[in-house]
Parts: sequence; structure tokens; C-alpha cells
Amino acid sequence: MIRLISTQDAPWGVPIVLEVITDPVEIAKEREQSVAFHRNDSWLREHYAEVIPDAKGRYLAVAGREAFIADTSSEAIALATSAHPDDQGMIIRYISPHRGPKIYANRG
Amino acid sequence: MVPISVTGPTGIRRTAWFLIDTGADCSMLTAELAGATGLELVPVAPEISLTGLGGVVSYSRADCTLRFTTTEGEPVAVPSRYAVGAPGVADSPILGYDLLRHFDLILSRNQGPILLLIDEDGYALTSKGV
Repeated sequence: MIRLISTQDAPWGVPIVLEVITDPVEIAKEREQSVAFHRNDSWLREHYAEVIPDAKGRYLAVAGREAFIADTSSEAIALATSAHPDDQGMIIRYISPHRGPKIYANRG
Repeated sequence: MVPISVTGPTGIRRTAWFLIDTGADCSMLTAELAGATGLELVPVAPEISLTGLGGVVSYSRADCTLRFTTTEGEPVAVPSRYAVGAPGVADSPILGYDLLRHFDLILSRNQGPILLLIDEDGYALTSKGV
């Protein structure tokens, strides 16, 4: 749960509108990016047990089906981008050091 | 969790798994996802706060486009202004009620994927073996 508390009626001031994309070029870009993302995501699932122990409490980037671990997200992104500059499907995430079940993602 | 792509002002596009949270008033991106897509973070007025089980959290806002993909493979873009948690606030980006209110949500662990249905999509529930 994230609870937004505001004294204004429309705190962001921007309405949300859903737009179906029909431009073939944009559709192709989105599909290409999605395929690249799922390629890295599948690799991470297969190698989760070997990658995660070193990444706990740090940032993990995956690009080119390869893991890059660093103490900051910008450093992990830079390592992954440098090694695989053309990979549009890079994954970047913080790996929580917490062990055991979670009831929520908020770590505030 | 659902995969959603995020596009920033420079056109950099990254996909991440978003946590579906029907109890969240608003969606929220992680700081690392915002950094990877080059989002311009704008401070938020102090009278607007975000709070969760961990208490009040620090955040900014950023303009960007989220894209879902339909079962036919067509992207649906949702350009808007979203909250961005400060580093360490959340493990994953969150899909909250500001977006979920536009859909019927079907979650079926046993029978298939998570479905977000918009107005023209109908559905029916049936019993097995009947």
C-alpha cells in the first residue's frame, strides 16, 4: 500500500489517459524492447541462485544475459551499458538483503 | 507482477516488473528505474506526502510514459506524472489505483496470467466440471 495524502483535489495536476499505439514503428520498437527484456529476465531466473548472494544490499543490472553488480544503481547501469551498449532490455533493480517473507515492498 | 515499460524524455525505454497494489493510491517508480530512463525528478510540495507500512517516504515526481502490452501485442501508452520513490524506498515499482481504476483486474494463480481488462472487454466466471 502507498497512501497519497494531499490537501489538493488533483495533486499531480495531470489526468491519466490511455492511448493505444497504432504506429507500426512504435509497435516494432516496443516489441523489440520487450523481447530483449524477457531474454534478460529469463536468464536472471535461471541464474538467480548464483547471482543473488553477491548482490544482496546492492544494485543488480542484467544486460546481454550477464549480471553487473555495484554499490550504486548508476554504477551498475554504467557497467551494463558499457559491456552491452545495444541491449535495450537491460534490467536494473535493488536486491534487498532481507531474508524471509515480505508483506510489502516499501522499505521506508 | 506485470511487465511495464517506462520511457523518459530522452526516449530511453526500460521494462520492469511492477507490483500490483490495489491498496496504493498512486503508482510509484523506483529511483533506479528513473535513473535508467533519464527521468527529470521534480521535488513535490511538502503538503503532499506518501506513506506506507514503513511510514512516510521521501519521493519526487516525474513525467514519463508507461506502456502496457495487450494480448494482441499492441502497446497501450499512459503518459502522465508519476511518483518516484527515493533510493531505498521500494524494492520494485508499484502499479497503484491511479492506473488500476481504469481496468478490471483478474488474478489467477492456477489458470493463467494476470489480466487487466478495459471497458470493451467482458469476462465470465464458470465452475470447473459444470
